[in-house]
Amino acid sequence: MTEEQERMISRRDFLKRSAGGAAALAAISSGIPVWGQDKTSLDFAVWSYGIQTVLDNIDKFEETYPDISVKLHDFPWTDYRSTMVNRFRNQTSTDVLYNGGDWLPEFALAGWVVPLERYFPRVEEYKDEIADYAISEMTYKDKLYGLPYYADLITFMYNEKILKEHGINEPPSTWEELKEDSMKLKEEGMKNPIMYEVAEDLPNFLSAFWSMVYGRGERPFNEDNEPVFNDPDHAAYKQLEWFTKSLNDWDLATYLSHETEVAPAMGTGEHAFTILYNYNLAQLNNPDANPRAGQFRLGLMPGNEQHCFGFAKMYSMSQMAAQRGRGVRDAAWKFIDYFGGKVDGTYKVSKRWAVEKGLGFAQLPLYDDPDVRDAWSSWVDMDRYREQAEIAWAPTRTSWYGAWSPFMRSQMMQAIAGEISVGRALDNAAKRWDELKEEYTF
Amino acid sequence: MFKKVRGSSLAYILILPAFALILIFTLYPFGRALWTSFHRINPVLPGNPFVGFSNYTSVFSSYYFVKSLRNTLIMIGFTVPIITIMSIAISRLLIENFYGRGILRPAVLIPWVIPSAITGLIWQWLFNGSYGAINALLSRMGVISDYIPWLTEVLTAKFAVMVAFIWAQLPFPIILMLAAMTAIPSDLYDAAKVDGATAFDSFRYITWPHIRTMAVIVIIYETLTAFTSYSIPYAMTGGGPGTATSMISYYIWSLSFDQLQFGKGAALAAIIAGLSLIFIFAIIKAIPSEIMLEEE
Amino acid sequence: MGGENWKRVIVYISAVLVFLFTFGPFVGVFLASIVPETALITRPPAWFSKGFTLANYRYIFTGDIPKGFATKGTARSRVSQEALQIPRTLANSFIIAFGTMLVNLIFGSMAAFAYSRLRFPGRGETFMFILLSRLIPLVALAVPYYLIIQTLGLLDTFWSLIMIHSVLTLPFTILILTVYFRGIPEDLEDQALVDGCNQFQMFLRVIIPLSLPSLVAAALFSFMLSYSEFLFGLLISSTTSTKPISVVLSSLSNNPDVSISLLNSSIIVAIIPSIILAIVVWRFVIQDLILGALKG
Repeated sequence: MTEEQERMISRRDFLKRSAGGAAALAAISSGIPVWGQDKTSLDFAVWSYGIQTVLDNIDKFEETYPDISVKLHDFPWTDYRSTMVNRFRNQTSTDVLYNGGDWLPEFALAGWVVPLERYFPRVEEYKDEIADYAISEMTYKDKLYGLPYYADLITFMYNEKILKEHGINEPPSTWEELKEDSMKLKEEGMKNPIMYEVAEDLPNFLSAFWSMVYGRGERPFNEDNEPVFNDPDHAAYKQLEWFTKSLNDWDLATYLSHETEVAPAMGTGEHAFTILYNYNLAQLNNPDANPRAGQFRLGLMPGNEQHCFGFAKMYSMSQMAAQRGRGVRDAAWKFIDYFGGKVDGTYKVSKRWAVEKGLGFAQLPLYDDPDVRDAWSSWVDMDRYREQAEIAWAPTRTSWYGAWSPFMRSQMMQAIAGEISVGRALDNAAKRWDELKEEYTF
Repeated sequence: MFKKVRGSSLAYILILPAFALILIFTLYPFGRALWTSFHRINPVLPGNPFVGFSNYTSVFSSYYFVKSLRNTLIMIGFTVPIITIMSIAISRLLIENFYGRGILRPAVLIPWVIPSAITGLIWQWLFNGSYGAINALLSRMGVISDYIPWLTEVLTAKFAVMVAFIWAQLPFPIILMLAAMTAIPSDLYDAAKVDGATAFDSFRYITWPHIRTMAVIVIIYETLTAFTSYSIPYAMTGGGPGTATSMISYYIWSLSFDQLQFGKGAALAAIIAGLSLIFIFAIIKAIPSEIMLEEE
Repeated sequence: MGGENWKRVIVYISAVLVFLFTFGPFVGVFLASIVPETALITRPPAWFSKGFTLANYRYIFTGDIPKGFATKGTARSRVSQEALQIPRTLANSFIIAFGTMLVNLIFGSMAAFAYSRLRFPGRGETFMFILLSRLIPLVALAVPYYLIIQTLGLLDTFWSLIMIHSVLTLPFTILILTVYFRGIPEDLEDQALVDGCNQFQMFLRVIIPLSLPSLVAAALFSFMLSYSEFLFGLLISSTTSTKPISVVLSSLSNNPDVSISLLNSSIIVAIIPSIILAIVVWRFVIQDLILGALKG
């Protein structure tokens, strides 16, 4: 038994103790699975997106593997992590699940999910065909914990038609250019050329900010996971200043609190630039959802280096499944392999998400898939997407990142509102990071 | 008041189902919440050391505490009196005989069924600064030439959030007030009329004494609700601009389920419970009513 | 007569204002559900420039993808499929809310009768306990509640939500009913007892009919609160077979592939059962039984 396994098991005991008799009882009543006569049943937890597609995929999987049955549990995206923390903490039966790079370190540290390669060495074979930023998102302490559900970028988008009408033929490639172009648009009558997604209660806002910082070519943390973003010369410091000035001093930008509001706002034609999860571009260029469909283009992230934020969501296997025995583990692997890996030689399920929903992908062969290219051509310049993906950076992920992110967001909110200075906000956030790092390193 | 002392066993049988249900869901959860507030409870980290009052002191000294508490109190200070007064006025109106009341009466109840996050979403769309319905309507009517960024300016954002909250909360008080008003014997009003009382007099001397206890219930209920709900503001403004609409109860959620500091979350919940208790007793003291059981 | 005319003018003006405030947003939501998204977000506003469509409603009930959304190549596409969970979860919510309402009416009125009419040791203490059980913000109780439900083996069942929603609503139901019952003159009951009724018959024949307005208030309160409750629906229900509609609406509203029109169609569908309930309650309970009795 490895040290890690030992630690996990003692952690499990601790969890039971800490939750009192109730948790122990619960583990007996529901944590331990009920085997069907000859079927292995898997509890599969997802956030609610494309549920019919998921169910359809499950049906096809069950046709392929008649001895496995899958029960779907779905939760709203915004509350997914909280719901999963609650389920794992109370040992509610969950075998395979959607997981995100941002939560992987804490889920792994808590012993809730297990490295795939410990049980299924074959998973190694996929590594060569998956983009680096996605591998990094699915890896914790050098071990691979999942195969991709989808992988995407946070990208810079602009309205090409509006820019052309104002004599701007190339999208801005630096933040200075973005400011100049926006000033020009403002002088010519557009009140707020830039539209952001900003909300204290959503992680998207911070991820989008990192994407902007990556555009400038710097990472907020050094190799020892120490914060460097609060140095006035650092890109993050400069970018937060730029960001707050664009809202307050130059009055070039405005914001809404959710991407589902930003997309329609772009359709009003009152804004020319935005920074969002890339799949939103599919919505922007959807003629039935947006009166300005067809006008929106992907631009490389402004900044000297033009890197951007690349992330992956994955299928993981839970510790609970691993402990249910070999039969369940094999079923879980078949499931993860079917959904995130290849079926009959192609990445069937990932391809389906890319084609039907415009979700990004990390499996490199899909770039050359004619069906994907054809479907994507209606809403994005795929070569530019690939160009951006090739220089995408995987963000820094640590086990305390999830706990730190809400604090950082609230500091940014205060800085944006001018309640505290940019320097103060970033100093506070760096201090909090150090505290959490100490707490989580044991 | 109680002329006969009746058998206690009947009373116990009658209260048992409700009392037992509430007991199960109170003793253990309260105990556990309290226990949690004195420990460091992070499901990701091993151990759950006793930390004394440090969760409490850390909550009191946190960046959000004073600001979001102030926002919440302002919210309560404006909305609770408005809700109470509006509910009295509207239920008074609903008793009247007028053409169209068959439509108005059910209409006032509808906001009740909308989950508060969705209420927030509806109002965020109404007030949206880019494509919102209110802006569309006003600009169509020629009242404004440029769209108003309701949700990203401090004062208008606070205003918008309060409007949505009042809208969502009104139905329950209306129903309560209506129940109280229908119990007033109508001959009292007739007698007052004969005596030449003004409308104000009959409200003050007849209506108010009869609805006073319900009004106290409304005030208590709405204060508790305003203290503990944050879905509407967060769906509309995400707590912004800056921290202008951040609510204290959001941080119980954020501390517990986002930052995984369940101990601090529980400490904040206990603080809010303490404040609520003070409020409730202040309200009961300030407005004489028959809300408490009298002891003979 | 001048006074009467003035009164009518005031009544009608306030009726219109109240209607606009409480129902206006739904008119907006309804329009937005039948107007194509592309018309809805144009500036300057031109909502009615592209005609109307019921395609979103059809999608919710039949799964026929609104025409334009079926983009090339594949059967399914960029439309928020969670909307297809609505019909089923609507029924779930109705069952849960109805169950909660029954528990409130039966257990609540039993307890309230005991508190308003009987004297017994522990009366004040248990009443206080029930009232104060709602003091701690729910978020802090979420984990212990979850553990209780899991221990009982009731995760992902209707029972668990009916139980929790009842715990959340019973204290206020009992408070409202107790206050109301106490307002009923005791001589009526004494008369009934003299006429040979036992206490239970007296309760059914005297107290219940006289306190109908408060029972309606309590019933609506518990129904509506349960119908719109989100937190425990989220934590406890994980499959479509038990999930309440509030959770589905939340999923929908967060999905990047939801259109404003589909979301608004979903909201309209979600509130239809409650609108029907509100109309029925008004028409047959309040109008006929309560206000009718008031006039007589």
